[in-house]
Amino acid sequence: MKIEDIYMQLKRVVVATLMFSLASACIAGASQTQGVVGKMVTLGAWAPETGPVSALYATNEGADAFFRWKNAHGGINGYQFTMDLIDDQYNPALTPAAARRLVEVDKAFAIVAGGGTGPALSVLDYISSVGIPEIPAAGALELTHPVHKNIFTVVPSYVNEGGYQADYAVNQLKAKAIAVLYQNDDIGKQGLRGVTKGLAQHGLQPVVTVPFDLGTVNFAPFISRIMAAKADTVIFWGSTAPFVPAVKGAEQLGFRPKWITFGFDADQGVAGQLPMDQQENVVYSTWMPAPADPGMQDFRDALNQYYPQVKQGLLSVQGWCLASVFATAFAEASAHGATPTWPNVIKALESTKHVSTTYVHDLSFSPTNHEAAPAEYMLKWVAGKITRLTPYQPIPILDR
Amino acid sequence: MLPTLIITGIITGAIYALLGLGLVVIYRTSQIVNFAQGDMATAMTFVAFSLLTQFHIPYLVSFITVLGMAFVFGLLVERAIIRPVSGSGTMVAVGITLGFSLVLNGVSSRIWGTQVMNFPAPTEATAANILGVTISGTEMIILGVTAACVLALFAFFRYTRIGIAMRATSEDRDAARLMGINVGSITGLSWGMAGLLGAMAGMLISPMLTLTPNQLDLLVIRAFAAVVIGGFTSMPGAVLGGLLIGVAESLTEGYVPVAMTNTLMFFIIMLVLVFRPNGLLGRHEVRRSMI
Repeated sequence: MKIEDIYMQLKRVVVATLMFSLASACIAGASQTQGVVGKMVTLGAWAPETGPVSALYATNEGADAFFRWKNAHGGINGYQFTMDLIDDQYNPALTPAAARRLVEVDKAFAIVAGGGTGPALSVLDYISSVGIPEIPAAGALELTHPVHKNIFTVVPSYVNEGGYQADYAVNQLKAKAIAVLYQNDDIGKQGLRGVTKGLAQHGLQPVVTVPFDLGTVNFAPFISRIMAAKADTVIFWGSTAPFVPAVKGAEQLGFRPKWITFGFDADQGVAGQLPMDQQENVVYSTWMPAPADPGMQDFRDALNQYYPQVKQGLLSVQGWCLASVFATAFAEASAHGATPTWPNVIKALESTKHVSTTYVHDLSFSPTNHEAAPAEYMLKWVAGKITRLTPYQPIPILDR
Repeated sequence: MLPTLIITGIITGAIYALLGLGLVVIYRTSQIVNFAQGDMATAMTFVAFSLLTQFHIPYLVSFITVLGMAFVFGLLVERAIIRPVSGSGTMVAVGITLGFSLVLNGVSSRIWGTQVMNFPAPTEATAANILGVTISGTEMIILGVTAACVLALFAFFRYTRIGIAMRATSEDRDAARLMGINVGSITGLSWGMAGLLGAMAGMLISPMLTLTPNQLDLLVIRAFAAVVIGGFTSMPGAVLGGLLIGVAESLTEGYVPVAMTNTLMFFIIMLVLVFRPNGLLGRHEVRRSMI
């Protein structure tokens, strides 16, 4: 081969490499100040607007209501916000495209309240590699273990929450025989793990653990197994919709144990459908304020104004609270005329130490811990009103 | 425990059967599997929800009004999106029902929101306690309505002129047309009936579960399985398939300590199709090709 041919081939390789790099930069281009144009900030989230768990979309509406309300009250350090919500149907196969569009096309500055464990995990590597700040509406362990420099969870991990519920069952309800009825997926299995670990700390174990599939109509078979194990307390771990048929299944068999479940099930659309005799036996764990709390007037006003059709429940409160955590960090990152950048927001979040606001209690992050594990409390419906049973309490950390 | 599992399985099976009947009615006249059946039913159930909770119209009036609306809705769907592609093959029409299902889901989510809603029950009364299982008034109504629907449909197809015309259309559309039957109207009628059956199922099932835009989608998959087992051309087959699925599911969930429901259900479907490809009560079809 002549020296000219070698030279020409090398030249082609170099040019091709340069063009590929340039194209990659154009396509995957994400900068640490993107999404901020003048005083306008674009935020984004993938959101289950349609699909099997579209009820969770209320979380995104809550977050959007928060920023609209902020805008109407002068914004944050003069910055105004828009939320870009892309429907991924809670389908992890669709989330990567939604995430890429948010980051690379719509140039979002941060991902706030992106919905769901499965979707968040499906884009974990991508979001982590891009470096865009994210506060997901999910609490899976994998999001923060190991620590990803730009991902922060406020929603307690299901393992820790399960541990908190186990503590409450043993210490407050004086439960002797605890059954776990759990959805056969990541949410349910992590909750089960938490309850099992929590009980182990008291020298106990569940008397029976019963899995069910999402979409189950007839819960009588599962309840029969729990009854056969002579459980006095049932800890339920699953999505919101199956809780009602589960409790109705127990009522059908005349079984009235104490129930412990997730705070989302306390929404009136769910709790209001439980048989009256069962309703008084149900307690709910949550880290969020109830929508009717005196401190949530802003939330109620904002939802009435921007989303009057959305029920003011804990799902929409969740979005509001997650947005408030981001807003606090953004305020610090853009204080005194500083330009908001990804490193500034991340630094502000990492400097959060035992912060309590109207919306979140005892929130802490650090450079080595991005799982906030906020304090929780128990509540129940009494005479048609949500009532607190406990003050905010630190939750057991079982997953670190 | 066994009687409990069987009784609750039968109640669940009746729900699958009620939804499955709508699938069979359409399939018999147009050979189309309507994938939008669940979303059509959901949309009508949301209309009923609005009538009951926003306009406070009495239950029975709302129920009957929505059945009428569902019938007209079914007719319109057939006329607007199915009939125009009737000459393009079954797969095109099936694809359209799939797309229509997504459109309806999105529209329902937009209009009524996505949160879990509390659909009022027709009655709060407890109807019976059989072997330790409390059967609610709503569940008794479901069992009764399913039985009544099967009998009414049997009588309709057997003894009425329109029913006989529908059977003729399902046997051979061209021959039926030559005999003076308006095949288009008959097909439209079957869509109307399916819409009505779906709405009835939706309004009866929702008080037992919750109302969300996707609640019935998951159930229609079970109903589809029921119809495959019973036979796509057979009304009693849809009911038998629904009951079999309901009871099999219940027994598995009661005795197998791991989540095996879906595995078992599809294993049963596979077995039935291997030994009886047209379902347990389905008709064996022989089609001659004209060369």
